[in-house]
Amino acid sequence: MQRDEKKNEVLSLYDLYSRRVLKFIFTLTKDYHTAEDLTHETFIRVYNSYGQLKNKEKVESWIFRIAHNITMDYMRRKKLNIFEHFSHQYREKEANNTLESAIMINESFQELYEALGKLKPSYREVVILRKIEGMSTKETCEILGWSESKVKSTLLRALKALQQELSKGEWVYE
Amino acid sequence: MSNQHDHNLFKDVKNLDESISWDPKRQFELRKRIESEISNKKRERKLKYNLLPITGLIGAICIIIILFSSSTLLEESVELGNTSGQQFAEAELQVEDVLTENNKTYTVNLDIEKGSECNFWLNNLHNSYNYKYKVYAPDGTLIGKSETAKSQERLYAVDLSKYGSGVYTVKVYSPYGNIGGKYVLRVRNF
Repeated sequence: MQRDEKKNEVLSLYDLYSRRVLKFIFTLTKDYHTAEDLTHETFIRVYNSYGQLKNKEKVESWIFRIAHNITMDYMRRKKLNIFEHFSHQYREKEANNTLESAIMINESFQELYEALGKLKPSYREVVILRKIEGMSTKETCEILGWSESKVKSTLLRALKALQQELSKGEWVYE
Repeated sequence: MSNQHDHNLFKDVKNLDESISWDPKRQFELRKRIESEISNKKRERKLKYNLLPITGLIGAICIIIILFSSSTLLEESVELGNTSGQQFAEAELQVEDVLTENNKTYTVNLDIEKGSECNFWLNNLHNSYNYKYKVYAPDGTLIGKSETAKSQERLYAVDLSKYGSGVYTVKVYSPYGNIGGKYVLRVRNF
C-alpha cells in the first residue's frame, strides 16, 4: 500500500472513530488530557500496524482493542509510578480551565458518569463497550481478549455494581 | 420494579455517550498533530534508508573483527563438544523476533535421548500481550496451544516420549490481528 494512501485511510479512521475512542478512554481514565494523549497514541499505533490488520471489516473492534491495550498499559504504569501520579494530579489542577471547554458532560448525567467512574476498570470497560458503544458480545470478547461467558457474567456484575453506586446517591430513573 | 429499573438504567447508560461532548476544535487540533507525526515518520524512514548503506558497512567491519577474534568462543564450543556450533542450536531454540506476517513458524530438533520432557515458552516483550503459539510433533500432530500467564505464553512439561525424536514445529500467531512488537521464544528439553 502507498504511504499516502495509508495515511489518508488512517486519517479517515480518525474522523470516524476518534470521538468514540476519546470518550471510551476518558470514561476509563477520568482525565481529559490523558484521554487526549492516549487517543493520539492509539491512532499512531493504528498507522504503524495498519498493514497487519487482517480483516478490514473488523477495523472498529481492532481500533478499540488497541485503545484498550494502550489504556490498560497506562493504568498499570500509573499504579507503579508514583511520580506520574503526582504530575498527573498537578496537571489536572493546572488544566482545569481548559478542560471545561474541551469536554462537556451534561449535568443531568454527571451522577451516572461519576458512579460509572467508581467501578473497577474491567466493569467500566465492559459497560462502555456493551451498553454505550453497543458492541456485540463477540466484538467485546475480541477487544478485551475474554471468553464469551466472562463478558456476560462481568457485565451482569458491573450493572449490579453500577445500580448499587447509584442507589447510594439519589439518582432518579427517568 | 427491578426490571423497570434495569431497563431505565440501560437507557440512561446508553445515553451517557451522547451526554459527553468533545470540542470539535480540540478534535481537529489532535488530527493535525497526528497527521504531522505521520509525515515526520516518513521523513525519519527516508533518513533510515539513507543511513542503511553506512550501517551495513559498519556491520560488515564488525563481523570481520568478530571472526578474527573468535578464538575464545571456539575454545568454549570445543569444550562443550559443539565444534560446529549447530548441534546446540538444533537441540534447543531461543529466538528474539518481530511478527511481520500473520504467523511465523520455527523448527527445532528435539532428541528424547537428551530429555523426555520439554518446556516451550514465549515472552511478549511489548505491552499488548498479543502473541500465542501452537506446537506440532514431527508427524504434524498438534501437541497443544500456549496458555497465557500475564505477558508470558507457556506450554510446559510436554512428554516427548509420546511423539519421539525429530523436528518439532512452533507456529507463532496473533489471534486478534498483529499489532507489532518483539517476542522471545524458547524451547528446552530436559
